[in-house]
Amino acid sequence: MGNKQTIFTPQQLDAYQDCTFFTRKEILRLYHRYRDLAPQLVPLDYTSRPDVKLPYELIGSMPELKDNPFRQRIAEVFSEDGEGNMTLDDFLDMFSVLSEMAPRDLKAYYAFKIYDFNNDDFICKSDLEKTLNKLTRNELTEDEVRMVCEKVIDEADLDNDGRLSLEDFQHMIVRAPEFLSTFHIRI
Amino acid sequence: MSRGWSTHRRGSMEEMPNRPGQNDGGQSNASSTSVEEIYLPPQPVSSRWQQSKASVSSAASLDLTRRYTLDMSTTRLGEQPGEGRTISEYKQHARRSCLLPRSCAVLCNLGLSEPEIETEIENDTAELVWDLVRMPRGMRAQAIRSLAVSFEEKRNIRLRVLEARLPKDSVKRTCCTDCCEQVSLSFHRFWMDVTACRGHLALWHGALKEIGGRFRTAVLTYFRFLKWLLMLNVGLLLLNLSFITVPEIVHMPNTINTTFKGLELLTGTGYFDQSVMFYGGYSGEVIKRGSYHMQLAYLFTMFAYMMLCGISIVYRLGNSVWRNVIAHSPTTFGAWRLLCSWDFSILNEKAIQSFQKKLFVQIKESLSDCTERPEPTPSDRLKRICLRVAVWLLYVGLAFVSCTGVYVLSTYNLQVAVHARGLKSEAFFLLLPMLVSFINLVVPLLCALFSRIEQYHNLRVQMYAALVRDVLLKMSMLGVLCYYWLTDVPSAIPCWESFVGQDVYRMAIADFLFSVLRCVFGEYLCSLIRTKCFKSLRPPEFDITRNVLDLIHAQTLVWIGLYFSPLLPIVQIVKLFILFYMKKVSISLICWPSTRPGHAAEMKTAFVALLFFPSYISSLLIMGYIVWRLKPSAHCGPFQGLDVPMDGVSSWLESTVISPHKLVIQGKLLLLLLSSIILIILCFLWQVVQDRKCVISALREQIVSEGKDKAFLLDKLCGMQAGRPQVRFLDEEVPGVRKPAYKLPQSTPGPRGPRKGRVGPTRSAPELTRGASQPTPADPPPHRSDQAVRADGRSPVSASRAESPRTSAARSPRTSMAGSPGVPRCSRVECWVEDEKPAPPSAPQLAWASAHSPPPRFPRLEPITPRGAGATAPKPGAAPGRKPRPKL
Repeated sequence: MGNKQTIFTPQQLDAYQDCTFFTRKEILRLYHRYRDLAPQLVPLDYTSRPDVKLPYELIGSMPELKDNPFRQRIAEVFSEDGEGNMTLDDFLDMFSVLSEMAPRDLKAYYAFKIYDFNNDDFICKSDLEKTLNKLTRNELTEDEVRMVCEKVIDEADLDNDGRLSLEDFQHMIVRAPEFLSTFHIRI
Repeated sequence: MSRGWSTHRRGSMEEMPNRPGQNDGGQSNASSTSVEEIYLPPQPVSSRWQQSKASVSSAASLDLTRRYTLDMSTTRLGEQPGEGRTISEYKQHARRSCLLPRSCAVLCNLGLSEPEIETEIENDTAELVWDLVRMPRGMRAQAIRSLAVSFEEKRNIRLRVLEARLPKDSVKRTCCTDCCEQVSLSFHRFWMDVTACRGHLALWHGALKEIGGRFRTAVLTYFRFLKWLLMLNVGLLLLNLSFITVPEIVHMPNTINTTFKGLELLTGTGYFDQSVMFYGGYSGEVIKRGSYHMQLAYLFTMFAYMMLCGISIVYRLGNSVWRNVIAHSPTTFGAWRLLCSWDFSILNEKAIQSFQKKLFVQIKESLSDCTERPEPTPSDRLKRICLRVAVWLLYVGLAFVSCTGVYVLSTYNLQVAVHARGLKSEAFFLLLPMLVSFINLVVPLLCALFSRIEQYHNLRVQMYAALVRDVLLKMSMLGVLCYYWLTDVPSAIPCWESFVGQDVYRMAIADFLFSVLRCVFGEYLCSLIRTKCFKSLRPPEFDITRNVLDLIHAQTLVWIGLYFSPLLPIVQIVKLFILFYMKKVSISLICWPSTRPGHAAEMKTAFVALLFFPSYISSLLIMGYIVWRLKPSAHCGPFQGLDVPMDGVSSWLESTVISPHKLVIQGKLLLLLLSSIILIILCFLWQVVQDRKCVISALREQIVSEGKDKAFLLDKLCGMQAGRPQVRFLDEEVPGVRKPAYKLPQSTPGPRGPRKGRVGPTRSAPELTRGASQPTPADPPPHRSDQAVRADGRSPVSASRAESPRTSAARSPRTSMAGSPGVPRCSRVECWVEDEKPAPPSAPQLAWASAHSPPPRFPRLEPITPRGAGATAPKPGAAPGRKPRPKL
C-alpha cells in the first residue's frame, strides 16, 4: 500500500506542491501514473531522490499522449536531456504546465517551444510546414502548405522579419480565445 | 544556458579535438565556435544580431513571469561555474535550460567575459530571490510555479528563497515561532486539501473532465451548457417551492379524491388537475396566520425568477462575448487557427481523427476564401440565387404547413376539451405535443437534405443558415401555440390557466420522449446499421448545434409554462439529468464527434445569445402580457375575481404604501428616466470601444514601423561592421583572447567603478536590487563612451549618433516611440569602427540614439510592465522615457 510517507518526505511533497500546480493528492496520483509505466524501474521510495529516467517510448505510450501528433515534441521540450527521456520531476513539470491552473504566459511559452521544431527560438517556415503536416495528417498538397505558411507568417509576423518570434506568437494567442482550454491535458 | 555557453569555450579548447563525434544536434554549431568568433561575430552578423536583439526586446517586454524566466535561465553559470562536466552533459543541460531565446548568445555577442556573465547572473538571481522573498506566501508559490524553467531550477530557487527567509527569523527563533511555523504550514496543507475537495464536490466534475479529456472542447460546451441550465432550473424550483408551493400546502393541504391511474404522468390531467403542479391548485386567499399574500407571492416569485434568469444569462453572455468575440478581431486568414487551435486535451483516437479532418476542412476553406475564385458567370450566379431562393421558399412553405397543422390540431383539441372529458379525450390531448415534437424532429432533417443542393462555398455560412432555419421553425411553432393558448383557450375553458399548464407539461414530456427515442433509434440503431452493414460509413455525427437547440427549445417551454405550472422545472430537471447520462453514453460509445467547422468559443456565445434573444425575451414578453392584459379565470387560481393579475399588486400597494408607488409602478417618467440612463451608458461604452479600436490600429501600425526601423538600423550596423567591426565592451580583457589592436586608455577611471560597486559581495540584498537599476551616488555616471572616445580618438557609433543636432521636439512620434523599452537599442553596446568613418546618421537613427544616452551598462531586463498597459494610448511627442510597452 503506497503510503505517502514511504514515497516522499513531507518536505519533498511541499517542494512539489510549491513548484507545480498540483495538490498533494494529485502529485501522488501522478507518481503512480509514472510508476505504472515501468514498475520495475521506478522505485517505491523516492525519499532519497533516485536518478530514474523513463525512456521516451514509455512516456509516449501514455494514453494521454499516444495519439497526440505532437507527443514527441512535448516530451522533448519538457525533458531535461531534450530527447524525451523523463525523470519524475520532468513528468510533473510537464503536466503542471499543461494543467488548467497554469497561467497563459507559461502555456504560451511552452506552446511556442513545442512548435519550434528546430529549436532556433523562432517559428520559421519549416516549423510551420511540419506543424501543418502533423495537424492535417499530410493531406494538403505542397502548394497548399506553402500558401498557408506564407499566409500565417504574413499575418502573424508583426515586425516583418519573416518568422514568428515569441512575441508574435503571444500576440497571436490573444486572438485564440480557446487557447487556455485547448493547451491542456486532463490527467 | 550559460553553462551551454561555457561549454562552447571549454569544448572548443579542451574536448573538441578528442570528441568530434559529439558535436551533432542542436547546439553543435555553437560548440564549434571559437572564442574569437564569439567576440567577433561572423559575417551573417545581421541575423545573429537580430536574434539577440529580439531576445533582449522580448525579455524586456515580458511580465513578471517571463522576466524571472530570463533571470533563471541565466542562473546556472553563477551557481556552479567550474564543475567538470562533459560536453554532452553541458549540451543536454543547455538544451533544456536554454529557455529564453539566446540570452546567452546575447551576452556572448555583447562580448562579455565569463566572470562578468557569472556575476551578472548571480546578481539577477539574487534579485529574483529577493523579490520572491518579499512576496506574500501565496503569490510567491504562484510565481515560482510560473517560472518557465525546469523543475530542478524551480526547486533550487525555492530553496534559496526559503533560506533567505530563515535568517530574518533566526534572530529570535524560539519554540513559539517554530510552533507557529508548523501550524501555518499544516493550515496551508489543509487549505490546499479543502480546495481540492471542493472541486470534487461539484456536480459531474469527473464526468465533465472525462468528456473534455476524450473529446473536443466543443463537445464539452454542450455538456457545460446542459449543466448550467440544470443549475438554473434547480434555482427556479427552489424559489418556487419555498415561496409558492410550500406556503400553499401548509395553508390548505390538497384533498384529491381521484385515483392515480398512471396516464396522468403523460397527460398531466386527472390526478394532477387540482394539485399544486398547476395554477388551479393555488388559491388567492391570504393565509391567516402571518398574513401571507399568495397573489403577491405568486407574481413576485415569477418576476424575481425571470429577473435572476435574465441577469444570469446576460452575465454569461457578456462574459463570453467579451472573451471570445471582442478579443477575437476579424482576420483575413486566422493564423491562430494553425498554431493555437490544436486541442491537446483530446485523447480519443476517433476524436483526434475527426479533429484533424475538421482542421483540414477549415484550412481548405480559408484557402479558398483567400484565393480569388473565378468570377461566376451570370448564368451560374442566377442559377445559384434561384436555388437558394427555392430552398428558402421550400423551407418557409414547410414551416407554414407545419404551423397550420399545429394550429388546426390545437383548435380541434380545444373542441374536444370543451365537449368531452374522459380518458379518451385525455389520450387525445397527447396528439398535439407528439405532432409538435415530430415536426421538430423531421423538418430540420429535411432542411439538412435541402441544404445539400444549395451551393454554399463557406461551410460556416451553411451552418449558420441551418441554425437560423431551425430556430425560426421552433419559434414560429411556439408562437402559433402561444397565440392559441392566450387567445382561443381563455374564452373557451373555465380554468384555462391549468389547461394551458397541462398542455405545456405534455409538450415537455413529449419533447423528452422524443429525444430519448432519437437517441435510441436515431443514433444507436443508425450507428449499428451503418457500422455493421456498410463498413465504409462512419457512425452518425454528434451534432452539437441540434442538441443545443433542443435544450433551448425545452427551456423556452419551461419559461412560457412557468406561470401556468410553477412546478414545471421538476420535469425539466429530471429530463436534463437523464439526458446528460444518455448523451454521455451516446458520445462515448455511439456517435462520432462532429467534423463541422465552428469553434467552441464562438458556439458558446451563439448558444447563450440564442437562449437570450428569441427564447428568454419572448417568454418575458408573454409573461408580461399575461400579467398585465389577460383576465384570469374566475373560479380557480390565486387571481380569481381580478381583472388582470397585476391588479393584486396595485390594490396591495394602495392599501399599504401611499404615494411613491404610482411613480414606480405606473409612472412613465421613471421608465423614461431608466431607459435614458441605460442608453447613455450604452453610448458611452460604445464610444469607449470605438476609441480603443482606434488606439489598437494605431499601435499596430506602430509595431510595423518599429519593425522597419529595426531592419534599417540593422542594415546600418552591418554596413559599419563590414569594415572592421569589433563588438565588445570597453573595459573587457578576456584571458586567452586576442586583444584588439587598439586599447582602452587605462587611465579612465569610469568604466570599472560602477561594475565593481554593483557586484560587490558586501552589499545587502535590498541594496543589490536597488543598485542594479541605477548607479549609486558614489559611482561615476556611465558616460564611458564619450570619455573613451575622446581619449582614444575613435568614435563609437552611439556617440556619433548622439552628436547629431536633433531635438526631441522635432522628433516624430513614430521614432520617439521606437525608444520604448520593448525595442532593442544599439546604444547599449558600443561598437568601435576601426577606421574613423562614422556613418552618416539618419534621422530616425539619431533621434533614437539621442533618446537613450547615457547607455546602460548591460542588457538589463526592464521592470515589469503592467498587463493593462496596452489600454493607455501613448501620446505622440511625449518625453521619451521608460514607457510601458503596449501589449496588443
